[in-house]
Amino acid sequence: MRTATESRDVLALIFEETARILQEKGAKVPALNPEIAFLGGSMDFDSLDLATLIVALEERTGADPFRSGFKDFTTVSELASLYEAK
Amino acid sequence: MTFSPDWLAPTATVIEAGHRDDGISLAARAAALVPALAGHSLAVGPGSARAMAVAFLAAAEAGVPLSLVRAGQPLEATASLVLDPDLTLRPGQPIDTVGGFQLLLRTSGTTGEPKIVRRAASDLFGRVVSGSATRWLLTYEPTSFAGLQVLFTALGTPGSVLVAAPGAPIGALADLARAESVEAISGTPTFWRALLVALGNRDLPLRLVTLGGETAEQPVLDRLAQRFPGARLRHIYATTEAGAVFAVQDGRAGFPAAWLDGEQAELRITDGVLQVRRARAWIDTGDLVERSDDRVYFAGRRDAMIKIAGTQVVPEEVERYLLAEPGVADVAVRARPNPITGALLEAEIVPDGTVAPDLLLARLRERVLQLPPTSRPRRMAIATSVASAAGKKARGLVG
Repeated sequence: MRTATESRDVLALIFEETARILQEKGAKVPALNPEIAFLGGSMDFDSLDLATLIVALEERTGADPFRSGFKDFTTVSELASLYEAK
Repeated sequence: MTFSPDWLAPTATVIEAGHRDDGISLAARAAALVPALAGHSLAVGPGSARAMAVAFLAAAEAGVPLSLVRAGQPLEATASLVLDPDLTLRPGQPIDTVGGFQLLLRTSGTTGEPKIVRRAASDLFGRVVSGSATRWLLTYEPTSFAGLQVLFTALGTPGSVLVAAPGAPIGALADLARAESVEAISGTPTFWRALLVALGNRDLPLRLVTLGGETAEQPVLDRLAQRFPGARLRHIYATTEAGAVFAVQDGRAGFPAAWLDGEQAELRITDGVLQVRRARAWIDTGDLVERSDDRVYFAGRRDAMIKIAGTQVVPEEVERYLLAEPGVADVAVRARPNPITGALLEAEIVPDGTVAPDLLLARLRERVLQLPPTSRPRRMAIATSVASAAGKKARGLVG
């Protein structure tokens, strides 16, 4: 059983790694919230950054929700739910 | 019954695992196997240079095919008899034996399935350079083409010695090289970088330093020239299809662009790929090259290119870029499957000990920002070694 604490942990991890990736490439880090969209939104995030985020999340959580193929997601909370469903 | 092929020097010696066999002893051990080989095919694995030599001599004398099996490849399935490292025969799988003595070699298969190459024994003897008696260290798998060339060079030269410890870790090879007063080593650039780390500042007075199997980059050539000032330094270019093509002796990466010029030239560049003339045909090597003034440099394998976010990336170019950072002894850049971009590059970094690992990683993260985004390793980690079993860096997808 996953708990509400773990859910917040995944969100916090995504915020942390997203901010790190943006900082490393010298982009502005916006105020992050669960409904922010990764691509095509207010963030200077591209497909390679997103790919990098997924590698980082696999390292931190040990989970790879995309092992069986690509899954649809747009926002931070949608990505978080993929890790929580594992 | 015994025999002695004319290429084999009776006074050449193989030293391996406490055994010391000269040419006469190897031929006698082979002769003892010959009666059992009639009507069979023979396979030998990567565990022993001594077994490799005996298998070759026995199969040639018996007139049966010899299958050379690399590490990680199935042994029993390739022949009806298998010669183990302790020189005992055991059954393999029943296989129709055709065509007398020939060598069946497998390429190391860094990209995809290993390819089987047939070689006549004359292909090997043609390349054996007769030189003065030399003490060699074997760094390649004995059953690889490069390993065979070193083995035959030693066994064909009176008074030469081949010191072998197949599969030994790099630290053990460094100790062995010193203990046996080795004078000549042929190895991949990955091997050489690892050896430099393993040796530290201990003495190893080499006369001949040869690089092969991977592109020799200028930093490793410079480091070797510095470390072994008394040695002749050369890097060899060879391909599975065309065999040995050339050796470069001037200590510089790549080769002279003048070799491309003139009607007698045996090399040319077509669509960025090096081609080699063999008889009247031009053979495509699959190696990407770039001409820069008076020099031609290798820029990776065409088929080692990786598609990342729709862009072709050559991992070797990224490795070269990371190797230029002070404090880096060796680097392996690999593709990691990724649901977003198809693949992403990741890098394993072997520090040379002059820069703290954390600082080195931080500097490398800065450094890769100068690369195009698709070429940046998105994950970098410190490693103690990046050599695979074959001595080449694995370039396929990991994970």
